[in-house]
Amino acid sequence: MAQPIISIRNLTTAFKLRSGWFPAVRDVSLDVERNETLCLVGESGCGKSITAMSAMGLMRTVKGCRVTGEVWFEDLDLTKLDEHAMRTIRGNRLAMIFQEPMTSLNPVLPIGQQVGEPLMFHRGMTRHEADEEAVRLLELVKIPDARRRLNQYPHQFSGGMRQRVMIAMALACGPDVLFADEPTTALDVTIQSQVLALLDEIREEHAFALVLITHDMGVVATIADRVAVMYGGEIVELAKTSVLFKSPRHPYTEALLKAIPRSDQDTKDLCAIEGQVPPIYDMPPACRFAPRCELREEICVEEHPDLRTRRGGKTHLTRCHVRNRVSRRSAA
Amino acid sequence: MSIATQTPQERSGVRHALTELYHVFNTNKTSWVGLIIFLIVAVLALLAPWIAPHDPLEQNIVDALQPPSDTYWLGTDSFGRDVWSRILWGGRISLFVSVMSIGIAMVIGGALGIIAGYKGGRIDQIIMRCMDVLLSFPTLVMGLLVVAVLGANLTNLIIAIALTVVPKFARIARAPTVAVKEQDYIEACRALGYSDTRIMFVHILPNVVGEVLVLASLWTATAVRIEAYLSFIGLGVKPPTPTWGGMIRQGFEYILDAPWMCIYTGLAVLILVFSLNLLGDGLRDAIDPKLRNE
Amino acid sequence: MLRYTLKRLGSTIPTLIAVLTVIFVIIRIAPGDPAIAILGDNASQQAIDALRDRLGLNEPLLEQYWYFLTDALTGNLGNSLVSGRSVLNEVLEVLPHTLDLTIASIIIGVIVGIPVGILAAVYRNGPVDYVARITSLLGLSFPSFYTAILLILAFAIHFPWFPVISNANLSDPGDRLYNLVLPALSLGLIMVAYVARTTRASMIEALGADYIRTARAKGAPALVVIARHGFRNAIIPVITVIGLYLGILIGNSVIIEIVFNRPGLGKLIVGALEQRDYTMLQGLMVIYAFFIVLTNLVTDLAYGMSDPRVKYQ
Repeated sequence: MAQPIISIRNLTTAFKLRSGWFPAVRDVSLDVERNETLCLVGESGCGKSITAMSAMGLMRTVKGCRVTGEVWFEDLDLTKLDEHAMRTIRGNRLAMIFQEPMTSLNPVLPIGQQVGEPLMFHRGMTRHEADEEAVRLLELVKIPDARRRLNQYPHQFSGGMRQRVMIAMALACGPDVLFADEPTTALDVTIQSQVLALLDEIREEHAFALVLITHDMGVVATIADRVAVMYGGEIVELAKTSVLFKSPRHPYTEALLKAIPRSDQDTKDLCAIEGQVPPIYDMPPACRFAPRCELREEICVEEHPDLRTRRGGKTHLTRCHVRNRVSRRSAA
Repeated sequence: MSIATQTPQERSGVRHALTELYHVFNTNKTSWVGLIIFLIVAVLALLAPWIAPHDPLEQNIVDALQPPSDTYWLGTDSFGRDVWSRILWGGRISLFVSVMSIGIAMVIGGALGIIAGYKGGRIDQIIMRCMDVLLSFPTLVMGLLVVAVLGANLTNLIIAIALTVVPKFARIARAPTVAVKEQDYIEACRALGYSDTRIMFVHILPNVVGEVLVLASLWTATAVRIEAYLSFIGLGVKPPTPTWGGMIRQGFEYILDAPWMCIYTGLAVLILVFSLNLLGDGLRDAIDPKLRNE
Repeated sequence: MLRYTLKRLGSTIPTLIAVLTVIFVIIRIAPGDPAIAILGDNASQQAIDALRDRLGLNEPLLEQYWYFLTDALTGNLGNSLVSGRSVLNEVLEVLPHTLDLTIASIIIGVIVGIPVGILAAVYRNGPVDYVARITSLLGLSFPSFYTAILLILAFAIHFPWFPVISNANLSDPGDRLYNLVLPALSLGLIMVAYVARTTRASMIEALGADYIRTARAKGAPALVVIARHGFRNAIIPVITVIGLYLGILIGNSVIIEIVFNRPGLGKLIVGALEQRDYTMLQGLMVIYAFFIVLTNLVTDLAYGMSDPRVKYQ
């Protein structure tokens, strides 16, 4: 494995509630390589977004929130940087786009100014230079008639166009890592695939690492090199996309895959996962998925499983007592 | 009682709304402080005939313009009348005018708002257009106009203030009515054949009570001030009846020699208005869902 | 923006007519005969009839309404019953004093209120916020004559720095400003309180918006986040509310003008009330109606200019 561009080590993000501190993200470790697309998958509330926001240092100003662990970027542990130093990296080397293109753009500033802003912060460009660069960026994300649209406001753009603007803004300084938090969820299906294709194309061309957060396994299949499945704030399975789709090991991953609607399948056979993700103040102490799991055994409610590989393999990690044991036995 | 066994009536009872209000009170301490200060002022004013040390109308020229002393706690005015006693009696007028006018405005405005919201269509439009026009008049200007035309006395004072505040209540009552109207349990009431009047006043009213009471306490504060302004201008209850505005006007003429007349009477207005604002503001913070999650 | 402006201008006429109608109704529902009210109970029937005729009170009600409307809209407000001078001229003469006072207090309100509101929102629930909230609540609880009287006691009597009676010479800018300080402070204090509270609420909402997160993700410095992204959005509702408070200011300026014995609309109104100057009173109400409609118009236009969603439609 090549040197990762960003390396998240034991990241835990906890929130203070009335009865104490509760982790929304627990002990997450992830390496992302340059030129790779990694998907973070899971139901809403599983901690995907918070993982990305924590890595970006966006959780530190949130009241009643504590981030521990390390985020290594080049030779820097980002969690140890002060806000001022972090600001020179955010929007420059690390960038992020958000789920809601409707509300994530400032309604009272022209698009051009918003796209050019990172260049003024990080490259010291003047407004005029930044505007020129913004035209180029808007053309890069295939917004027609970019120069004219520079002075328009967000409400004059459609949802898909706004998300393109968000992408242009994130790419302004040529980031090394781009976190994309459900960038297509709020868009129409046809627009979704266009925006995804655009992201994929630009990523190839500019060779940055893309961390794509989604709950849509269809998106994962088309774009991801590797997948990290999250449940209850933890990574429960981490594998190459092809491996994960062919031989998922964690029961939760299996269930997620079964829940994808396919055209060759009768909708009757679609499986929904029973139950809901438990709230963070009511997490099962051992395996988080145990209450909803069909394979549940005694150990699953007594002991917290580790995220580890099956013997032999190095890249496929699973957090499941049953599956990891079964595999060991069969190997022996 | 479990939810399942509740009839729509029980779920929307006025008592339920009041319990809700009590909880709201407890979430915000400033509203308690406001309520307690207000109650103290109200009790003092109500008990004026028994606790005032002097007759508020008794003139005693020998003792005119006395500074505060053991006999006259807050001094005397230019006729030698006791300022403290007059403040207590003046408080009765202030409270009576403000509570009555806001009470009337609350009932009329609330009813208009609920009717407009519930009936919708043409009736809604006509009512709310009229309210908008009334609303565009500044309260004091409207008060001046009405009292000037109708003549300065207690009843007209109350009418004038009520008239300017009615549209505020109509607006605040209309919004939740429109929202609640579509909900299942109101539909259920209609299916049960309840009359419109009954639905509006038994089932919709409780949903409106909270915000209306917040508005009432804030506008009672304004009403106290408007009453004081109008009597200050000379459009209030006629002398020699003590009113706070009138006392300040009179005191202002002697501001060089006897500043206590203005200072203490003004302080009384300030305390009453501040307590009502504390009360209303605290309640609003507690009720406003945007600010609630803190 | 041009279309918005034209549309908004077009809608002022109906509003103006509606407001004028309310005034007409209130004036005419008065029990008793205005002529008797003006002349007193002992006036001769002949004098009363003559006055009724002069005031047009003998015409049918609808006709009176029509004349009232057309006169008001053409600026024909009649002559004062007391001085015999044109009502419009008397108003225009004192208007600069009232405008000085209102505009100065808005400026004070904006200059002090907005930064206080922003600070309170940024340090929400901290000590700064707590002090700002309680003081502003206290500030808007102050009856304006009380503020004025306390300021006079402190800065005109105890420290005789400013005049007790504020009768400015309009042609001397220094004198005009000097006479404006205490009255404008009295009125401005209320405005500061209102503006600070509105700014705080509006700013809290803006700072919680998604685009603030975007700005931070871009690496924007704190000041840029607060000013460029937060405040630019928060100011929009504040503008509307300042427009609404203009009404409160117009009302309170009456009181301030009386306390400082300052010429202006307020003093004119009280004089007319005392002298039963019927036409003056009616004329002043019409002037207020124009003011109300005008402030609403200006507020809406300012709102339109500050919000691109309105501007480009």
